[in-house]
Amino acid sequence: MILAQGFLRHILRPRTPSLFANSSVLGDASVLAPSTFSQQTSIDVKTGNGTLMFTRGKRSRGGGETQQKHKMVNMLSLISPRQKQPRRIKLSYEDSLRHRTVHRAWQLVVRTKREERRLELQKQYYKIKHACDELRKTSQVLYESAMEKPSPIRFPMEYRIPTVTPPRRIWDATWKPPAEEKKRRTV
Amino acid sequence: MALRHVPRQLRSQCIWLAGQVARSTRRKGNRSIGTAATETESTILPSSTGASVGASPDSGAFKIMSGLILCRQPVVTPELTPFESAYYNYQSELQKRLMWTFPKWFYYPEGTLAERQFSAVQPVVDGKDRTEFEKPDIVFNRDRRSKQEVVLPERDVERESEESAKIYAKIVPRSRITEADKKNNFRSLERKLDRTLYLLVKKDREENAWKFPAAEVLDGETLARTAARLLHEAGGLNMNTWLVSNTPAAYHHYSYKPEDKEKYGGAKIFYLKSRIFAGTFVPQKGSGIVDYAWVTKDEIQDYVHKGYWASMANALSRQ
Repeated sequence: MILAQGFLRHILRPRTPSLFANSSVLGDASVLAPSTFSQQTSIDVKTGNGTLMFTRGKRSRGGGETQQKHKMVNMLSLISPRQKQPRRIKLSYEDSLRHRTVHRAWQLVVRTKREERRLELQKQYYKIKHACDELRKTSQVLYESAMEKPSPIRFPMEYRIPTVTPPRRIWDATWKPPAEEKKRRTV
Repeated sequence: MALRHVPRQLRSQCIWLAGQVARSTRRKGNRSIGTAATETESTILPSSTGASVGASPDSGAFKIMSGLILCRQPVVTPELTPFESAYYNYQSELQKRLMWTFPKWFYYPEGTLAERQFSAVQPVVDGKDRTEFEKPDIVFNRDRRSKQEVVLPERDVERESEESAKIYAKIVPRSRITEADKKNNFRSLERKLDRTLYLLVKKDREENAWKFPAAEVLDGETLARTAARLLHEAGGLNMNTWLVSNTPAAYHHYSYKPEDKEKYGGAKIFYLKSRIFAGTFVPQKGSGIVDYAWVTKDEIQDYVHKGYWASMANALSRQ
């Protein structure tokens, strides 16, 4: 019996990072003195909600504690990949060639898109630069007013990110300015 | 003009030739957009330069104007190319093949009615659908050599309450192609939801009528103030807009035709970018605007003449 007690404690020792504040996996484990006459050896475990009784021996259905244990095991099993993870994909030589070709084609597409975007932004930037240079030549006053930037930049509340499908009301064509003009923005 | 590379004897001839080329392009009207008379129509007060004079090859001040690139950002994501959609489909199939088995014991606990209904609807998994030499590897009713098919049981609609029917009602996404697209309504802001739309305005002229709106910068005004004023004068007050920046995004200049040169020799327009979030552009009386259109970048090329397009194209976005 004493050996069994030690063996059980060894099995139930905390192996994973603790889920409870007292840094033990299953809460405070207090081992009851084993009885020489009962068929079962039991260990009482205190948890946040109550106590769990881990029994070694014949399982008995029903009882709140076994159900609680079942629920906990259920939840924990979701985290582990045991028996749920499918087999590793093993591609034949031809299949692997196909996969690699698809991957490289995608990389090419992504690279082309990135490059196009970069060029577009570069052209836009040089347009701005050219406009500012001309403005500076034309009028110093206008140039300086054009160089004023709000710090930090303020974006309007109505700013919207594109979605895959449009909203129910696509465009508010009947918008009217609010009665009280607070004039946060000029345009 | 740097003439260091030209031999001394030919320098005067070179200057004369350059002048000839400039004059001939001006005569053809490549650069000029309109007459000075029609430009001044758009301003309330008679013009007086608030800013210093711009240098011009053939004497005369340049009218400084503030223009507006008003755009509506895309409402929906860009259209996927056939390769992109095929690739995304390939990736999602790979993901399904590598997904963990559905934890049925968690969502449909043993002994419940829902679990019984769910199990009844699932396809039979016996491993006979695959013709391979290895033994089928079936755990939790899933062949681990392939992707899992999970079939959700149909809802018992009769037994449901109205409230739960609303909650579980299938979401029907709206179409990306609107009525405005089908009718080809160029004045609607609901067309081409995946593209940026720019406002083009038509003035009462025979040639070079379509352009971005612009107005002269008056005394004491900044570019931004002029743009705000221009927006209200041209399109009314019922537009929710936001000026992206005080800094000009594009610059265009042109000389007037010799017969139209009263006060100015030409015009310099500095365009500011602005975004519209709600409302409608309604051409106002007295603005000189005859027509307007919300167009994408590639469509602008059909409306506007070459020199103008060359000035503006790089400032706009393709998407």
